[in-house]
Amino acid sequence: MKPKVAIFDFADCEGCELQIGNCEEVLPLLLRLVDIVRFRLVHSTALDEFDEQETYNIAFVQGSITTPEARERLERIRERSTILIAMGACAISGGVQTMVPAETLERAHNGEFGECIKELDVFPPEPLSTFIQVDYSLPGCPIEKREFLAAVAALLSDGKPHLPEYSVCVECRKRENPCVVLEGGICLGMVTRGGCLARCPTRREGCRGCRGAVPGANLMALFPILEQKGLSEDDIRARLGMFNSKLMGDAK
Amino acid sequence: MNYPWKTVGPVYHWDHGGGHTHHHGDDRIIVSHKIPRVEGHGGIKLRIGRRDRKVKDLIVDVEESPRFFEEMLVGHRFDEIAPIISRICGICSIGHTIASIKATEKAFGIHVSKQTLRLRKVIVNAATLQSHVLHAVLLVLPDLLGLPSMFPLAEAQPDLVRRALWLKKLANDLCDSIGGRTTHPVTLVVGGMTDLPRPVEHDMPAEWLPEEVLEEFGKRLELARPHLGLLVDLLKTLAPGIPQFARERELIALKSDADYGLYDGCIFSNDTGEAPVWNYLDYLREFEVPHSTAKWARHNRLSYQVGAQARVSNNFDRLHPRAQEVARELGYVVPCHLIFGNTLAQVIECVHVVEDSITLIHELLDAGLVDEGKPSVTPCEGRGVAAHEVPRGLLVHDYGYDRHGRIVSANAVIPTSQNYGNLLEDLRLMVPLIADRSDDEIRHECERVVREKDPCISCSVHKFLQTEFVE
Repeated sequence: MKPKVAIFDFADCEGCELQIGNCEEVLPLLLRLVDIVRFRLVHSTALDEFDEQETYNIAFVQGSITTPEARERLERIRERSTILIAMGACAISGGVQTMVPAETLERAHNGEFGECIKELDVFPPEPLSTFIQVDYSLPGCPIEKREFLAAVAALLSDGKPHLPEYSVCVECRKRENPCVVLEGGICLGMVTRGGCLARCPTRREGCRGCRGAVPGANLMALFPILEQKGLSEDDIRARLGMFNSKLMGDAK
Repeated sequence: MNYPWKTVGPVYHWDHGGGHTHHHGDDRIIVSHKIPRVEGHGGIKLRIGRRDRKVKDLIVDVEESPRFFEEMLVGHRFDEIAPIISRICGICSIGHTIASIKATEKAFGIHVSKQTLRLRKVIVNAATLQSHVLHAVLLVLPDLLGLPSMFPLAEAQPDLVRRALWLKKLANDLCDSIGGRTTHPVTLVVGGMTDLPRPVEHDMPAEWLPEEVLEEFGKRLELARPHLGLLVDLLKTLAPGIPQFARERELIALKSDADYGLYDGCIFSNDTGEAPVWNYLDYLREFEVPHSTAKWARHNRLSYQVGAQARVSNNFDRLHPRAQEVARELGYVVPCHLIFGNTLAQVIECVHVVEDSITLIHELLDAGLVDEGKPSVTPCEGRGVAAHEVPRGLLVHDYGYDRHGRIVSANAVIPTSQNYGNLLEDLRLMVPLIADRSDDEIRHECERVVREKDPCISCSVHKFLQTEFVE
């Protein structure tokens, strides 16, 4: 029997599951190897996640958790899944929506954005790991297709998905790109986990840190470098926290 | 105007739990939550009178969590705005990025080079092709053939799905090459582009120059013609089975003297004609609905429609002749007032964007590519409003900046929000015609109408939560 793979989403942009849909060349092969049983973005029959009988060998979950209902649904998915993988910045650390100011949620609770939002018990976005045990993570905003396929391949051959433990700078040097920082730009590559093959600096745009901090990153050392580019301490913190405030934005 | 309503192909068998039905007094209540094969999380709640078969309540329930994007932007620097706001929606991220950088450029009084303009138009075309192929072939076509999704479709029509995936890959590769990423693009920045087109990884030789990359894309776009031709041929055989139910409606899309108007133009309504983009607040009037947190938009009537159907209807004469020809082959009459008139318009636009991209690439190569370097931008205080046609319709971004180039106010008018009223009007007209069917069939048909409109629920909930229609 083929392993059952399920893909679920919460508060997010669906960009990560779109990357799976974008694996055009590999999709037919993937479908021969696994049964994709839940993938609401493209698949009709995948509706009742609370079917008592259903279990999943691998569940990919994207999005952040912002309501009690979502939390309950997430816990049920966890119960039914052997391996659960957090997919993308929202699932790993809350994503861009963690930048919403606290007072906006207060205003929402006071009914400024309408009765329905007031009634809905929205809380600040939380990553999956706040509520459940996450087995593996696929970082990025969005995830890299290559890393998704590698994770599936690893799990199908009883291995473990592996993420690089070096920074984006390492990959950028390997590609022989001119350094964005040395050319006067703003780049977070030095503290961000690699694996994207330095996607943004390769196109002469500074890294925005969507993959979160590389293990052992010295975030403090980034501040004087970027302050030289005219950014204030708050600017730098805002930049670090754009996708991963739980991982990077709390620095300093 | 009322045509007999018929279902095309067998209604596929519902798995457990697609929704449920219960009775309230004499009324039937039909619920569908998390409608499959649409972008975002949404459902329908429908209450039909048992005896008179009238629709008593109809709610499009948006189950997406609000993410408060406009609130998020305030205080951020101009170079962070597009990367943040593109995260409203992965599928529409190129559209949001284009609208965002255009609005910022308007605020700062920046004009971009002709080369940038052409490259942006090519990426807009590619994003449109990607989105339309995904929707028309992989999401809607299973409905027309009575299949539950693209996976059984791949077994029933392997050749078609292979060609559709080829087209989708071509479009994605173009976005990747020009934009740096298919989702949440990298090179599209305020003032220009950071980089010229690059070879696609594992697909083109890494040492290729930008000119060689564009030449290759020009060739591949020509190869796209027969693939699209096959899709058009299949749709020609299916078109007679598409329900011909019509409701006269207001259709709004951008209109331009220069081209088909995807990248820029003035706002045009088939009811009232042209209006300038900066005046959008008067034109696309958003209003509160009782018992609802979502804003709807209206202009001249109760509702209006944006998207491919509106664009093809309003700008037919600006379509590439090949696309016009396909429209005639499909029997597509403009202005199109059909409930199921959007998917065919998308296929017509697929032909147009392929031809237009070939032309643009030739123009780029003839003019010669110039490395313009990363643009430098001097921010200033001001307001910028920009409109752009994303695959799902008219998108407006409106920013206010302080003198340091930080956002003080932001507003975005999203196509799907504009289409909600139109969708509910269509459903309200359709349901009585099929009220004698089983609950499952009614639910299925309602979901089809929602899917036909290609809603992007993630986008529509950038700020608000739920729309509701109460008779």
